[in-house]
Amino acid sequence: MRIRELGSAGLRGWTIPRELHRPLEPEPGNAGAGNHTDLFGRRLLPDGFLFGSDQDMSTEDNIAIEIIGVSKVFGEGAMATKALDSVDLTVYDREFVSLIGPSGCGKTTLLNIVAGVEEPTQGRVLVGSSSHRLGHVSYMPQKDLLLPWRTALDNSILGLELKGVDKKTARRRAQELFRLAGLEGFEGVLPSKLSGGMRQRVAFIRTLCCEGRAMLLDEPFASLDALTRADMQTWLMRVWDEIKIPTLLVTHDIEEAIWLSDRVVVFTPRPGRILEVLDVPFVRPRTLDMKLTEEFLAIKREIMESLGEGSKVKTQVN
Amino acid sequence: MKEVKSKHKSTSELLLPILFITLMLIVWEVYVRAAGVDQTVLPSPSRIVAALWYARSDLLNNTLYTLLETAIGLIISIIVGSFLAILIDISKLVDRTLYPVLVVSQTIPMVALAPLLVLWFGFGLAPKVIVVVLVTFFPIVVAMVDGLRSTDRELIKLLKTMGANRLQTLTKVQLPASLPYLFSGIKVGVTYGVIGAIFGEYVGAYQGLGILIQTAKNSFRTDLVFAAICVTALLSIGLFWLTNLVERKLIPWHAKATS
Repeated sequence: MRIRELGSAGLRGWTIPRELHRPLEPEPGNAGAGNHTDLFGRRLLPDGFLFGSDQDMSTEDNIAIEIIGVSKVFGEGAMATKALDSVDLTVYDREFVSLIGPSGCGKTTLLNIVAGVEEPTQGRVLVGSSSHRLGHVSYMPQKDLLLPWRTALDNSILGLELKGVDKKTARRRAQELFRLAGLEGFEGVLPSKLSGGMRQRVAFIRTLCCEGRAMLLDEPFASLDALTRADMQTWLMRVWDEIKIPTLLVTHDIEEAIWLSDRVVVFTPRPGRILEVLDVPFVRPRTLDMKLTEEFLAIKREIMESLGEGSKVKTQVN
Repeated sequence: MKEVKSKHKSTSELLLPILFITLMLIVWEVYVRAAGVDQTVLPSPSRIVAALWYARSDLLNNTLYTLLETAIGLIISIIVGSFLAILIDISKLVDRTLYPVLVVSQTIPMVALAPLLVLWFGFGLAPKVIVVVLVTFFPIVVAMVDGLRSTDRELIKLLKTMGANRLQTLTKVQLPASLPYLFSGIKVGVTYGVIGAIFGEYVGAYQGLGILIQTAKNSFRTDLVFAAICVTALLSIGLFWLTNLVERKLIPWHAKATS
């Protein structure tokens, strides 16, 4: 019963917890001045979670993900297919970047490479100026992949547990994010009792809890129905505005890409190459009305045209 | 409300088979009495019940012995089988070396092997336990290997991005996920195990339902043979039910997801 309420009515009444806008009180234990910001000026929650500051800095020093001339070839000899062709892309701190392109253009492959699950055939990927990515980048797959035997809270701390953080500390940290995500009261619920949207939120908290230097979202809302999906986009927007972890989102949804992102990267069909990078000038926090403005539609039109051109390129090649 | 309804449903589901069995027993009883069939050829159900009561202490002692053999064999199979399944999952080499051996072990006819085991290990507990292990090992290992391999590739990838090593992937995800499979294997193993133990005894033993059946048959106590068969069936059903119970206690998320 309670789940359903929150799934429909509760969602639309969702508000950012006010206390998160106030400067955080330093912890009684380590009450030194400036203790709650890290080296990059990002706010720290009492338990050490990194949160983005409000200033926008896109300088060289603030590079989160650096993709340098990455190409990927699957198979060998005559069977070889090129999935990615010399992709260069930089994601800065506190930046939300979307990758959009026709299916099979290698977006997911690129995400796998950034996550460290696959290695590029050519080029390299740096995350926080290091090529060690496994365990340092938070990855959220399309399926929620929650473990049915763990409660929502225990699912979310999986990443911390693997890093050797003891369960009690991990749970306390995740609790903070449950509050931020408006999931308070659902910590002890098993995934089978949660709706699709709720499961996806728990999966998102699990991703945040990995405390990676950057976050990769692989079509996180693709399996949800249109209404839940719209709710989830609004929700993600609000939560992300609070945390501002550098994010790379793969999506098929042009509106989703524009509305959520600071930049939209358009890919060509296989082999995936960057066709165009578009800046989205809207200020944050963004509102749903922005989707109806001339400016928004102009960007949408441009992306649609680029995607159209991309497929023309494909037919020419064939 | 819902629970009451489902309880109602399960009793009505049980009603039909019970009615059918009762009908068959009545037909059996009437036929044996009317046709005057020799009780050593086919005893009537009432005669079997009488034998059950008459030989109750003998039946109980021998059942406990058979239960002991089955339990020891099953526990060995579960422990060793789980370990072997993990090894098979981890190592390609073990997989390619031992999997075919496992399959071949299932082609050995027990009728031929059981007497040899008695020859080698005597009339005691050991040969029966070996037979039980031989018949229960295979379903348990195969089910567990399937369980370990059924883990979602995406989930393993996710754990990898979290920096998990092979052991962590195994303990945090693969082992819990394979438990329902392990229990399916155990359920098959339980019924095979009881039959295996009885067969092991039948070939030569001091105690157990198998040797009881053997001696009863040799002294033309067909009613006692049937009584022992009834007890065997009850033993198998009881063990199966117990496995189900443990499964529900140990992996409640699975029971909830499937019910």
